[in-house]
Amino acid sequence: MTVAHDPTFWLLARASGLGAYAVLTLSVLAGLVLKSRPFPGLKAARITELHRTLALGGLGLLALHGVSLVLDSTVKVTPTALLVPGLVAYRPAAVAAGVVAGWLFAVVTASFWLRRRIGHRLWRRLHWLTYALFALATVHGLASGTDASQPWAHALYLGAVGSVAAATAWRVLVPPARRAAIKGETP
Amino acid sequence: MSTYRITIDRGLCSGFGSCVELSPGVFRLDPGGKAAAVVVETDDPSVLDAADSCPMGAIVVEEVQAA
Repeated sequence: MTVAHDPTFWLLARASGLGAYAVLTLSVLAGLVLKSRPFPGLKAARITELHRTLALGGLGLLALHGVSLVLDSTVKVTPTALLVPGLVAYRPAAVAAGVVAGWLFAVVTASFWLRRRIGHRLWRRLHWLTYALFALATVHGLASGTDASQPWAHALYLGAVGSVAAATAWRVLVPPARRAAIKGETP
Repeated sequence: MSTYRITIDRGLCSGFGSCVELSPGVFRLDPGGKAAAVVVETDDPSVLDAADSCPMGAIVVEEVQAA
């Protein structure tokens, strides 16, 4: 007798993984907009709030991704394997990249609330890890994602990498418009 | 030489502290954790970096004509 596999957690694991990646991308973009201020009309406080909310939302979806994988039986994932890279037999390198990306995501997000204890400089240095975690999350999704071969998934990954690359290029190439922050007469 | 007048919207300030690190001679965090300016006007251009770095956009720097 065969028991039909309930696909609920498997579908949830895939959807939450893709969702976490999409929300991470939006959070990264909000952070880059906050840094470069390409849209002077946008209030910094609103972008900061959006950036922080998206990061927390992304972590929430990431937690759902992990819990769903543990509860589903398609791929054997133990709770420990969610935290320690290299314990999943399925595409081990790509899954390990996801675990490391998850850790970095949590550390960078947590650093916001620890900034007074760790100082602005360390907080800034930790934020550079975002580029590594975004790259690892992209590799993880492309190399171990069940849906990675779908045309819509290609569009998601291409759109995410393209938009983050474009926003990073803007950050590097366009000098900060700090004079816009100055009011009053200039000599 | 330029002189800069500093205004802090303490309602917006989240006490992030980047202004204090970038312009320590001008900004400090008060016991309530909000940014305060030690002086009203300064010729220290680091206040521009401090204003840029504020994640809440709570610092306005006005450039005033030197007397």
